[in-house]
Amino acid sequence: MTDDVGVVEIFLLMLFSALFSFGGGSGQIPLIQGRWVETGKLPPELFSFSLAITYLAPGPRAGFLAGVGYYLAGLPGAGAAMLGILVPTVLGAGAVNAALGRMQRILRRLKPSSGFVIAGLIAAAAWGTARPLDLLPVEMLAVAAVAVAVAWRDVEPLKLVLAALSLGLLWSLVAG
Amino acid sequence: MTGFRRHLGVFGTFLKVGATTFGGMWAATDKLERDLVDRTGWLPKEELRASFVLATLIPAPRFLGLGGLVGFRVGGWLGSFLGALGLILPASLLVLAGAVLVGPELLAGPLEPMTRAVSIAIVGILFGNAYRQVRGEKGSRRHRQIGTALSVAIFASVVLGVPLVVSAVVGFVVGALLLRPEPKEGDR
Repeated sequence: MTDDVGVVEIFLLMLFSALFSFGGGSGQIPLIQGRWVETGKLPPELFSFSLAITYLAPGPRAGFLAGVGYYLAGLPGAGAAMLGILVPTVLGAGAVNAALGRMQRILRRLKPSSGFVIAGLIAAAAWGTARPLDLLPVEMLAVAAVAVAVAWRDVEPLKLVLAALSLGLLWSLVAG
Repeated sequence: MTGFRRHLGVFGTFLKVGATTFGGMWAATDKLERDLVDRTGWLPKEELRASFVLATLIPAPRFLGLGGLVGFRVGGWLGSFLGALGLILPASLLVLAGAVLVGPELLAGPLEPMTRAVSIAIVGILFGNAYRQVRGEKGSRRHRQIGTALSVAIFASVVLGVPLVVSAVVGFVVGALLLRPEPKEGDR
């Protein structure tokens, strides 16, 4: 933990990072790197650790911000980071909702194609997750097996994640 | 339903979603439809689907934006806050527990295969979910063929580097032009 960063600074940086999150991205990552990692206030291994652990956690990946806030300023820092990300979310939701009320006719026109558009976006998200992993052929087979289990066998995704977690743990123990 | 119960319901529903879904919003579309459309009846199906895309217009991570947006529809400003909070709370607590209890050298070193195995499962879940989404669409054979081609085109455009929001908007415009609501039996 560092004494150089206060909770107000954490809150304001998270708030500011919202400007870089239009489109649904994680605009916080480059800002945290520039402001705290590159200046030595947050050790890079702790930053990476916070990011890595969200892959094992459920829900939105933005949960890593709690870890960043904690490493910088303890539990108040974690709270400030969470509040900093929630405020623009709520304000943005209010603004989009106001527009949604005037969009009912457009929504009706979009209805026949919405499922297909969503399917394309889900597949794109899968690609975006897979690309940095540089999957080996056997891992691609594992991806295909999981996809088949979800698509045709209707297996609950949570069970698959828990199975992967167990297999990964076993793999860790064998490799270690 | 009273305001208090409504807000409690929003928080509880999103807390459950946040605690049981892995792989982000797109991996959870089926579950979200079950919880937010079928079980609670908070939104019509098409509105939830529009919200998946509209969430990208909110200056926040997409999944969080969805929680805020649906929460707002159900319970106003407080509902929006509670929806987003419930969604992010489980992940935040788990990360905090990890930060307090586990050393970073463990996850990046000996436990690295575990992280990789989970990531592989998430990729598979996302592809499987995309297929289920297409398969679940109703309509004539021609309607489904055009729709499937639209899904493939959107996927290909993102793979080729087109920003997600642009692909989604163009996809919706093309879809609205090519796919019209099919008349029901009684309309003929």
